[in-house]
Amino acid sequence: MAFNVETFRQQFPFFQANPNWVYLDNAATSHKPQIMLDSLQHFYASANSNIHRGAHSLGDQATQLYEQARQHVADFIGAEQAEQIIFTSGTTAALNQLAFGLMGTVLQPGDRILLTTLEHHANIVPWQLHCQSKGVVLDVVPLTVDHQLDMAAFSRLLQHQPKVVSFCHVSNVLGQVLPVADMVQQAQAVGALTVIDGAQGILHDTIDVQQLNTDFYVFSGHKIYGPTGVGVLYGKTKALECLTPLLGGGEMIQHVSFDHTRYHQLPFRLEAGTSAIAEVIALGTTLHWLAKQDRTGMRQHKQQLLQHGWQQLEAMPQLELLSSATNNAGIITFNVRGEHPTDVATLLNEQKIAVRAGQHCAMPLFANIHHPGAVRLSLAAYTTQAEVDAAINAIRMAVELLCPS
Amino acid sequence: MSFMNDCIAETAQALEHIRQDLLPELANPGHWQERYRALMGLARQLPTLPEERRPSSALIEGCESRAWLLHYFDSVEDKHYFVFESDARIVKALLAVLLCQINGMDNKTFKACQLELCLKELHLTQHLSQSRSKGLSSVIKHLQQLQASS
Ligand SMILES: Cc1ncc(COP(=O)(O)O)c(C=O)c1O
Repeated sequence: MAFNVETFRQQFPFFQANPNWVYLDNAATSHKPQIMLDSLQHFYASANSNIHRGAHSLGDQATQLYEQARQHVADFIGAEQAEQIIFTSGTTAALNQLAFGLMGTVLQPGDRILLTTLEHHANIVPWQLHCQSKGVVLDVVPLTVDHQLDMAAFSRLLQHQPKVVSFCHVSNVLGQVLPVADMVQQAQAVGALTVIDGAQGILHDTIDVQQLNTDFYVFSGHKIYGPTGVGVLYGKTKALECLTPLLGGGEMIQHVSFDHTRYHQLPFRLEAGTSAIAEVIALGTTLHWLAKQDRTGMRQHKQQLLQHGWQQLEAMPQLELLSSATNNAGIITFNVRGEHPTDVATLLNEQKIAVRAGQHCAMPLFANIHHPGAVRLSLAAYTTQAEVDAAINAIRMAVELLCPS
Repeated sequence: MSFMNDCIAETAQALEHIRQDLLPELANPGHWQERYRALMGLARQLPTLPEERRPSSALIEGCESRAWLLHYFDSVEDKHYFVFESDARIVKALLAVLLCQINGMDNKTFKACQLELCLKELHLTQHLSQSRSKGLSSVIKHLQQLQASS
């Protein structure tokens, strides 16, 4: 049976509560299905206890739910073992743990890290924070003139033998899907560890981390129908063992004295303090549910909407489209020629079309493509064609107001 | 300096026209499209400040788009003048709505002026998204500092 957007959409109560809004800011955060809300509610109402503290069976039960969520996440991305799933507070926290944790173990003074021009600040700043003091050098893969990642330059820069290569799966600005499998293979061929920022990619495609063979893959729960405050750091066991914990505290140690502390094994070593227990469990429930949905149908639906929206926007001479119609996960980024993106967003907001405008936490990318920012429409599987059409009409109205002919 | 003098004079003339002829229209909030049409029209009345006349010292912090505000006090005539620019048309228009009510004021009136009321009366702030309002509040803060130090 074909994917039915109406049936899928009915599972998201936000839309019933906000029938007048068109929400096209899905790359910022997604809405939440009832099953996720029920999971949060159920945990706090009926099963609330701290985990891994074992003196009573309520705690055991909470621990069991928590560890089951770890298994759900592992299944969702095809990890070999649940212990390879580390819960963090989000993509940003995961990337900070990686940057901090690899400095001094994998990265020594004089070593190089390779990033791309497409990166979100979350995949730039954590590395930069340590690079200078640790004497580690950052290289950046440039874009081609048509805003695609320059794969020839990528291969060339790999000849500097970076120790770590970190790149997004899908660009949050352009929607561009990177050839991650090929990039992992090339990077590992020169002996680098690979990090994939999957914040946008996780929802786009079915992920199999073993097939991808990446050393690390990170993502946030809130962008994949899950709650805020929880994210995932996946790593191969050997790669995770290279990480110095960013956070020290309870639950992550075996023995503490003031002279010496012995860490617990994975995954606990990297999960200091009380986790976002309810959110982790709800994320597990959400991913378990999502895995059973028609993900191919969802992707096809999004692609159809993308092409539909694209054709209409491309026909408007006042617009300049920055993203590309092909190899795109579902993001249309544009500017109205001669107008500031925030003005366009203000006029869309007046018409209850929620979009994002600005630099989308990717200032180096905008400096590179010489735009002050852009308006971004980001689609999701629950987006309807009627919503895309409403957005397009609203854009026409905004253009008419901004540049009357 | 003569370029700036021209710019001050041109801005003052445009702001006076806005205050007398265009503000009354804005004060009757019709359909939202009408309000924005009026705002866009109003932004077009103002001279453009060339790039090289936008010093970073005049940049107002806290706006999503960039806005520059230059202030001059003519002590002989006892008058405050403003010249401004923004890379976002709506911001420029809102600045005009605000500044047309205070441009050319004598020092005593300027210092006593309740700036927040200038926008509130026009029913504009309620329609602005939070980030836009934040930018506008930074402008008002900046002007309040000028009031205090003038
Ligand atoms: C590509 C990419 N990386 C990282 C992040 C940061 O995610 P979070 O704010 O959930 O940590 C985002 C969020 O916008 C993103 O799109």
